[in-house]
Amino acid sequence: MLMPVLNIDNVELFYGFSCIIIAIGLGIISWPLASQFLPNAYASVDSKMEIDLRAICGGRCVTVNWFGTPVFVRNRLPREVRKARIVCIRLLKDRCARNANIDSKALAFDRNRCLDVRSENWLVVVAPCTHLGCMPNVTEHGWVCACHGSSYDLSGRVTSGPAATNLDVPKCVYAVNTLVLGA
Amino acid sequence: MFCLVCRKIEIGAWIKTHLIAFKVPKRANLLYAIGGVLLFGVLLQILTGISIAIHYVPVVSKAFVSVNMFMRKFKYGWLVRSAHVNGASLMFCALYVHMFRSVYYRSYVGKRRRVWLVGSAIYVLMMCISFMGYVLPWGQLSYWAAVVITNFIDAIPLVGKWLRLFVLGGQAVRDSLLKRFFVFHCFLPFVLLFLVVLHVVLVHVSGQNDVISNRTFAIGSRVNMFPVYVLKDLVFVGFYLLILCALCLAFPSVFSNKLNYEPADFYSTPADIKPEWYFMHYYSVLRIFESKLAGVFVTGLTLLFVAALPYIHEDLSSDALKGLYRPSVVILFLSFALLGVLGALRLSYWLVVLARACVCVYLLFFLWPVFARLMRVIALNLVTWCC
Repeated sequence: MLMPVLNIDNVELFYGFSCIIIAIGLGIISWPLASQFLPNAYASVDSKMEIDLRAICGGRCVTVNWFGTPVFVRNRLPREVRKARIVCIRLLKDRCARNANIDSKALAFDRNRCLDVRSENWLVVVAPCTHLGCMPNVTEHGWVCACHGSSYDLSGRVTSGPAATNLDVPKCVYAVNTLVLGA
Repeated sequence: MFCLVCRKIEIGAWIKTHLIAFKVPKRANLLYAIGGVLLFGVLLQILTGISIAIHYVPVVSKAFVSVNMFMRKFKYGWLVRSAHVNGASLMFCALYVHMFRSVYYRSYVGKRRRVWLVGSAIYVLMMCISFMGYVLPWGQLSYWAAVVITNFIDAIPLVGKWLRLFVLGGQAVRDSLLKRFFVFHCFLPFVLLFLVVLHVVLVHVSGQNDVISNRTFAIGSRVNMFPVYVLKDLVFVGFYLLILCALCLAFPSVFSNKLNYEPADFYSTPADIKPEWYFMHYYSVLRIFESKLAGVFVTGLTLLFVAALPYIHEDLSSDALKGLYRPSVVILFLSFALLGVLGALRLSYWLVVLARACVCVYLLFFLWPVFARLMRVIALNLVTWCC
């Protein structure tokens, strides 16, 4: 019977190869085991939701549950819009508009953050504070976060506190009296 | 049959070497008895935890109700849960004393380095377990603690966003997170128990150091563990139980915030959210920095320094360092306690300044031997260069 002869060099090579194969095997086993921790396919699908805007009268801010993500829909009064528009953009902490509906390089002017030109009173922003995800409280000047005091102006732009970015404007479409989130 | 098995594995000899004739230093003081208390604490937490786990439902809509049902409707449920919750706080209290003792008497040099390394792993694991356990009742504070801490993961560069999804299992803190926290809160204590056993085994291999010297087997400085030290440990376990009973029966919610008795509300954050007292110093560190990354970095650094302590304070050969060591340990723990107190207060300018000073003191404790060594090298080089 023919047996393969292993001299000492071959043995070391053999050990090396077997280590590599074991490592690959462990990788193959742990990949599915680890991947199942990631969100499921259902959770990451963008889902559409329709909101009737007639129920929100001027000056009110409503929190909408958009498939688990709270969203602020604020019907701003004309004077609040004016107040949001006179803010000097150079003084802002974050000059990016953060509006998913327009170019990502757009600046944080109020006209880049409200729904569209015809409906400048409506402001739609993803609610959790961009610092650590707490819910900001509605005030007459905008929002103030309950946790660490980040404050946002009437356009959802950060004015002070530890938050570094403006509240995001989610993908949405405005039709007469209705708002479609996630469209 | 039982006797046969016992004889086969030589249980008698094992008991004799490790529980009766194990040599302990004569000069060990009362602080040395905390270790036994902690072992008892871990076992008690596992026991009470199992009976709570039987009644707990890890679903967002039912978690809060199931915990309250267990406390109100099941016989002695209030006692078991109270013992579990207060036991966790009490164990952290004992753990910090235990850590102070080993830092103060330098029980981490030489062979005992392994003991310290396993011990610091236990500390980190215990913090993970207690945080997960804190989220499970799904009260207001539980929920917002989970939200805030998982948002901190975002700050880690490169992998942060992905890692957050990995922990959350969804876009927000919901069922997926609650379920995995429950599973890991049940599973990790057994890993912890394994580490604790390893910790104790390593102590028995290397022997304990005493109050003055680090030499293990100096003649005449050691006595048998039985009876005095075993009894001392048991007395301390008795004290532990006494305090636990007092807490459970008279002050069951002295460590918990009343906000956590309200079910989680995803749409309103309570005004003052605070962690449990044993995380207060980390909370203090995290909130005094403007950027998230800085907070996470400094917190990670403090933990890393704790683990690296045996390498940092390895030799205190010169007398100047030796004299400085013990006072500096006391200052370290005082600054640590002060950080905890500051974490509970409302944020203000002077508080931030004071807390940053505390963090500096904390880091300086770990850095001064490095500085001292560096200064010595520079001085020597200067001398040779000049001459």
